[in-house]
Amino acid sequence: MEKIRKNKKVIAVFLIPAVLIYLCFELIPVVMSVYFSFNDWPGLQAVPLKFVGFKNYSNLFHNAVFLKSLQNVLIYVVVSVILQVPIGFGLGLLIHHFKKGQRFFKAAFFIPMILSVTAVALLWNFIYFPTDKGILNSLLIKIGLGNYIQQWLVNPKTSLICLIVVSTWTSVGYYMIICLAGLTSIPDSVLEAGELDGATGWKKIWNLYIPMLWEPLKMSTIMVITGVLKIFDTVYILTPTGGTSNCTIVPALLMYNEAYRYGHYGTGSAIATVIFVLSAAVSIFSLKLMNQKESIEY
Amino acid sequence: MKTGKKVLGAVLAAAMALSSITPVFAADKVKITFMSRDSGDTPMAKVYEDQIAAFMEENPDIEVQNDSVYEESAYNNKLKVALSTGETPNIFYYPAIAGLKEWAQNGVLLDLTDSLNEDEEWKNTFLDGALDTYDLSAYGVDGIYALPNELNVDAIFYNKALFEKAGIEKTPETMDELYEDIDKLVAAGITPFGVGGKNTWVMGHIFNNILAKRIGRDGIIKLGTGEKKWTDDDVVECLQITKDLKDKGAFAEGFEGMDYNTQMNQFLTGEVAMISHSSPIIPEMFNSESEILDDISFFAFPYFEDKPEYKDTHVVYTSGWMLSGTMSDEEKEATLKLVKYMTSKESIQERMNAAMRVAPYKDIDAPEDAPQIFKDMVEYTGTITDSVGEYFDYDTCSTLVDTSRNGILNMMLSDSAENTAQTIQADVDANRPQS
Amino acid sequence: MKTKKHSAGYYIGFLIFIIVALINIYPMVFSIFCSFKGNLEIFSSFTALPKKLRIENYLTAWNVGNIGRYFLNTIILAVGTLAISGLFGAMASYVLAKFKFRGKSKIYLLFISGMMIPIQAVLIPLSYIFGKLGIMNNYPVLILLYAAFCFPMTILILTGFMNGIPTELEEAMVIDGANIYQVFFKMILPLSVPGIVSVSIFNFIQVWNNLLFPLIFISDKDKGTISMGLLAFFGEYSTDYSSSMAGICLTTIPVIIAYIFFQEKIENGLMSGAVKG
Repeated sequence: MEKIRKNKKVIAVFLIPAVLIYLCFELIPVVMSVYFSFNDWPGLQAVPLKFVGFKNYSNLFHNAVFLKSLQNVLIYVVVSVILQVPIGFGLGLLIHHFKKGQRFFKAAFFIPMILSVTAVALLWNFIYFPTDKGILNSLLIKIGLGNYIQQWLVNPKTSLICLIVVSTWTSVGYYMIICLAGLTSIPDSVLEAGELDGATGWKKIWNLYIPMLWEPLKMSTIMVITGVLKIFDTVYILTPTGGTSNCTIVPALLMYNEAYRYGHYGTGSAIATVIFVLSAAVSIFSLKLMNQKESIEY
Repeated sequence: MKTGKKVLGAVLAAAMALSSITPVFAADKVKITFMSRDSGDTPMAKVYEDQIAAFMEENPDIEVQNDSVYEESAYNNKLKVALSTGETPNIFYYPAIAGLKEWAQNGVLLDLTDSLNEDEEWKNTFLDGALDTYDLSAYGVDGIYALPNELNVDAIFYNKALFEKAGIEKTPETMDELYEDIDKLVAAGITPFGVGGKNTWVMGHIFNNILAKRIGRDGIIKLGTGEKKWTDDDVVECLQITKDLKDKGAFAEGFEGMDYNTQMNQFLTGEVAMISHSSPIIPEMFNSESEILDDISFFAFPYFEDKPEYKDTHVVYTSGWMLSGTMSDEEKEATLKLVKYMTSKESIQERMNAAMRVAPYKDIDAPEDAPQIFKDMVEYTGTITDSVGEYFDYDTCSTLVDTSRNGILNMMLSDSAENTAQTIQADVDANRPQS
Repeated sequence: MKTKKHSAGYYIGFLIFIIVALINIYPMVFSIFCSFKGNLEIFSSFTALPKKLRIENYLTAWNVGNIGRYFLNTIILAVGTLAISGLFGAMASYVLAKFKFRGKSKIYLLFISGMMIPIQAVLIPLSYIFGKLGIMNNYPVLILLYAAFCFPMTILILTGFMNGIPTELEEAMVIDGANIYQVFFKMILPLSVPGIVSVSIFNFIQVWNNLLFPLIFISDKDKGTISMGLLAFFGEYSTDYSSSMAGICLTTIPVIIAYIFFQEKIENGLMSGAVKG
């Protein structure tokens, strides 16, 4: 077996189809995009690229809007990690517990994921509607909190968190599924042994489930981080201009505008590169952090 | 990593081999693409489909592909990618004037001057002066780079019943009269204007009208070419007037967060008395099931008594057709044929009848059975002699549209007019192309 | 564990859960309501029940959105993508999880880093290449493109899964005389079914909702996808909310039904496929 595990031919046969497709359709275009970022280009076939070195990057880091977008997306990432993973896994554990109605619950939490972004945005627009007709505002009035009604998506204090709530709502279902998939792959005997230890409540979660689910937890965290760093749809549809005083602008939206609205393809590519590098850095950092705790082998 | 290198080599070789195979096309038909913003279920889209089909029947050697996309950002993505790959659609639409400069300079767009001069009869179907809209010589590129196709005439649409209810007897002509009417409406418990601030163009258009009535066409063009600055007193004043409208109670509570569809629905259900909009909204209103259609009419944006010289400057947005500058002779011939077919008197009349859009052509009349409001609009359009488009259309700075509109919305919420002007000017200074 | 009496806390938790779940379903219900309302009716009150059932919204959606055709197209694209990304992804994951060779962690990282690439970043280079090669409107190419974007997530999840499969199982099979391909197809693949299913659901959603790729790489109307079809309702001067809601319902409800069916399959797959020692 050990010999097979080092067999170059076998490795190549298993690896090449995926690598080939991945190279052609994702990596080579990305490398091209990085190359674009060192050039000025108005996005016209007839106009050759004009090499400008790091100009696009130095402009970016002097651009207040871009800096604001970095700040926003970092807040977005931190809050999303804190919300999405624990809620998703909490739901997973609870559902696993409730033998009755499990199928219904799974479907219920999964539905937001399958809805198209358009439907989600439309719905939340009605929830966050700025007058007392809005679903959230009218609810607040009904329960006597009329003082707290807001122009949710306009107020700089609330708009970013409102977007994070929408993202969380749409994605926790997926982390719930990952958690359930992780749980089902743990042999019953291990879980039963855990039960016999007599640990309960938080202790059980901390000592039994978290170590058991460490791999899926790690995966989910990375998925949240990378997913949020390139977030575009939700932000674009709910606050198409990036919000009041740019309070909901994110790099991907800025990139989209620079390239496809303003014809600054060099700048757009530079932003794409920054998103990429940032994601890689944050993911590697958090992986290192999480790898310090070893998962239980069974 | 030896295998890795081999793999990479193989991939590159394969990619190169693939790219050397030039696709072979069947050469019997000339294929041209047509790309407009009218697709799907709209009356206009249907007329286009029919006209293209009829054209292909008449010209069996030409195949026209209708690539129209209704939704704005989708349209924009598709067009920009097409330009970047050099697959410029033969006929397309793009909302810009000065912004066309770079495309014109780089041969993306066809200079239509010669084609128009060669066919006097065709040239004469356009309204006098309409072709000048796309004459880019003011920006240093000689030539006419688009054909005006539709006019979006700005006006204030109002609900007669609500005006009567508030005791307003005649529509306002001056801004002071408008302010009085706003007071009357507020006193009667009616929200004067429906504004979907979240779609920043709505406030942007109101500001544009104020700008037109205070600094005129010349002023706006000077603002676009940089002869005039956003921080100039008269421009800041226009911003301030826009901001003051909110304090006068002209807009609904929370309008900054509402979207355009909400605004329309507020108007069509009789919740608000006025909306500031342009002529294409007429067919949309008649497409809805509103019960107040008979009560709707419009009046021109009021002028300022201290600026009587701009009383007759009206905001009219022209939308045009651009033709690809990289066509083969064969394609060019077919494309011009299609364009001439679509701008023939019959075609234009057909579109106006079906879709109620105002067009920049001579001798076109509103259809007999059209609603009165549309007939009035066509008549009103005929009286306009001094018109100006969107302020950013005259500026080569591509970011201005967003910076200014976002800035105006921020101003409505909290920022001062002075700060807003400075923000916009700073953007223009940074992003307007130098040459 | 089987017939244990539940505490009061259990029931309270259960109740809260039901409420939360109902809130979660509400949007779907909301969409269904709106799909039967008129445009002005939607805005007059967001939450009210429809005054009458306007079936015509569905007719408009079906005809204008060309939903039937687009539905089929999207299914073809999604199934192709899942097949490619599932099979090739699992193969690559197996090697990355269980084999030893130089550069392994680098290749793994290269795949995982794909998760950080925003789709918009590759649009221009890709359309440039596709335009050059004349491969627009081409489903096989589009499927490979989708699959490429599915690989990072697929490989991340499946490598994690396969890491958890005890090596003793493989070794036992090899000792019994199986070759490595048999080990993969007869044991590893079936054991990874839960992982493949869960990542496929994710990938399916990506393909289903993806708008940018088909928008740019498909210009032939007959080859359009659902997300493109839904766009027809969002115009410059008005949005036809009621028909778009009907379109959304037409496209979402089959997916939900399919998902509910799928659920059964997942559990069956778990029962039969998993070797629990």
